[in-house]
Amino acid sequence: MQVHSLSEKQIARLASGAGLAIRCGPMITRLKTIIPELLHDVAAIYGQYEVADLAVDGANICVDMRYTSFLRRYVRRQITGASDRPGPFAPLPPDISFVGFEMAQNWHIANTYNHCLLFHAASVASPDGQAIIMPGMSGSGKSTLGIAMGYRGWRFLGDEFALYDPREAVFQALARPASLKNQSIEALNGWAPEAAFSRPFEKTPKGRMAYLNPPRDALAPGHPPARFAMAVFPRFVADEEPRIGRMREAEALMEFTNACINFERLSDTAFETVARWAATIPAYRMTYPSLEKACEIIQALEKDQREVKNAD
Amino acid sequence: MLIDGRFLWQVLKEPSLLKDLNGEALSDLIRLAWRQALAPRLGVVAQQAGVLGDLVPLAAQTLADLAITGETSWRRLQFEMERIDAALRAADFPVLLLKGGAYQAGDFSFSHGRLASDVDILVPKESLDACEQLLKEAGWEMEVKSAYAERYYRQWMHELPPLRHTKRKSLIDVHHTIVPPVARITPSPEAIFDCAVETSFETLKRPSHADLFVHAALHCFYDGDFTAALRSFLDLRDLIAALPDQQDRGLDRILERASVHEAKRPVADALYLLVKVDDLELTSKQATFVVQHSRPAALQSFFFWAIAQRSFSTQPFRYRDPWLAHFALYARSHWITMPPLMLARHTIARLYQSARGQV
Repeated sequence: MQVHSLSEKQIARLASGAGLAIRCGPMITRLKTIIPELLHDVAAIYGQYEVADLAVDGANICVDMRYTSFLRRYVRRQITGASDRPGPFAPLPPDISFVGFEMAQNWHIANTYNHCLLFHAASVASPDGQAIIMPGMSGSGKSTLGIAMGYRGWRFLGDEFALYDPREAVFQALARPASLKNQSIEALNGWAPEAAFSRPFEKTPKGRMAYLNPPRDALAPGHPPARFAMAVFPRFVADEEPRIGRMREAEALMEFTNACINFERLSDTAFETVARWAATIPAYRMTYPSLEKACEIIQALEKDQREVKNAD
Repeated sequence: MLIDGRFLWQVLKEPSLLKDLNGEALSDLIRLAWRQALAPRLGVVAQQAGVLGDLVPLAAQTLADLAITGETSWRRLQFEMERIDAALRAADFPVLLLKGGAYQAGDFSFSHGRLASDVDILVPKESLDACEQLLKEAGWEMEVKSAYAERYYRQWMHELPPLRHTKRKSLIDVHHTIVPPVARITPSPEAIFDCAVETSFETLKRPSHADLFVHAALHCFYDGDFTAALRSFLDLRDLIAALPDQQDRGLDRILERASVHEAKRPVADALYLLVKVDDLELTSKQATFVVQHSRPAALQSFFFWAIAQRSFSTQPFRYRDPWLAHFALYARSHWITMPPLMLARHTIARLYQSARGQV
């Protein structure tokens, strides 16, 4: 059963009781809230995600979104959020509580999802399961590029975290709605007619934001496992010639290490994995002036790689 | 199944109880454990007991993740203690680890999964300046918000203002005694130094097992921090369970040390709590001690009501703890650690500062 098949009343009843359990890839988020704006946005944005059975399936994360006080529910309304693990959550106006909900999930994943190596990266995979990881800090354009590629033949794996499961040697898909900021909202307008944008969220801590749902197919099961094929470190620079350069091993090692969020927690496993990647996975720096150009460059890289592989 | 503080307390002793929980209850339990800073500990305990295979897979994975969080904290604390050990190698005074650091340096198994936010050390009062100097040379620096706060720490508290390492951002609290000097009981730091025990570190030592218990009891019943009271109570239970020889003799030793430190009342309170909620067995001599020194019945029931509200709450999803219980504990902890006039002055200063947004 998917979220959109529940009525708003049913969603509200779940969320004010034991919690609304939303499944996304390997993860189940349990949302507890009574904030009407949030319930409304969740119903709209998470519509195509599956509702899990809390008792049978459990949950990785429980996020509580609530008013900062009884008074603030009615007067100068203000909300805050928390995942299971107490963390730093700034109070927000209820109108952007959905942004708070997403930030709470991100914070929780970054701090507790320890059986995978977590990379601050967008990730996609080709139809035959060749994963491309695109690490980058906030503002590098990784989210925008990731979801854009998701609408151009690649399978969207996620825009915030790339989750590498070292036991299976695969990237897990955590295809949550992509978070777009400021100009990138316009950049994707008209990119794919079928793409469903959320309403805009104004004056968030990161400026103007909107969420873009991945294509329905990205959430469906049955894709081939995503094996690491290449890494691209993207940088968006308008009005400049696109540039692409292969990284040396030492440089790649540094960059992979920097992009890994839980390197310290996974200690030996993290070090060995990243060192092996630096030696074997082709890694590139890419400066791109437009999404079209970026897709072309990456396609060309994929083609080269296939030829190299076939020649071997 | 009611997931409350009492159940969490029980599960940490009997991890096989986890097997009876469904996905929702496990999620509730982990959430509750986080609120008491015990989630990584729960993960470690569950993993060591080998029950993960019998649980809802997602919950088992979350608990395994938590165990990794716990081990990371352990490793980080170990590293910090090594750095402190190196920084204080030139010290011509004794340095003792307290609380979490002492449990870990003393190789107590319950230190695994115990989250540590800072390292507490104890040095003789006359060596405070020398200690501060050595730590500053090694990269720690003082982090205080106002001149009032600094004076408050130096003059009235039992510690220097916290020192933060400039690069690693880790915190050290340097104490010269284990309760503030103005408090109504005055444990003897000299006696703690006299009975100190070697650790695997070169310079750093730790208090004896009995002194650790006395300190843990003081922390539970004489401190203002009740945010994770259950974890503090758990230290008491774990220390008793880890007593080396037969429990009787170990307990007797604790009672002796309580007398040395003039801390009979908090120790009696601690044992009373363990008898009440954990069926700790005492010899008749020990029971007499508890009855004699624990507080009078009326106050006791109020006090236990407040503590139970905070820790063994039957309502796992209350955001705010019952305010009266909270306030009672907070007020009490200040009342017993400050003379009345000073308390009044401190309260006014803090109110003034918070009104001006300086806190």
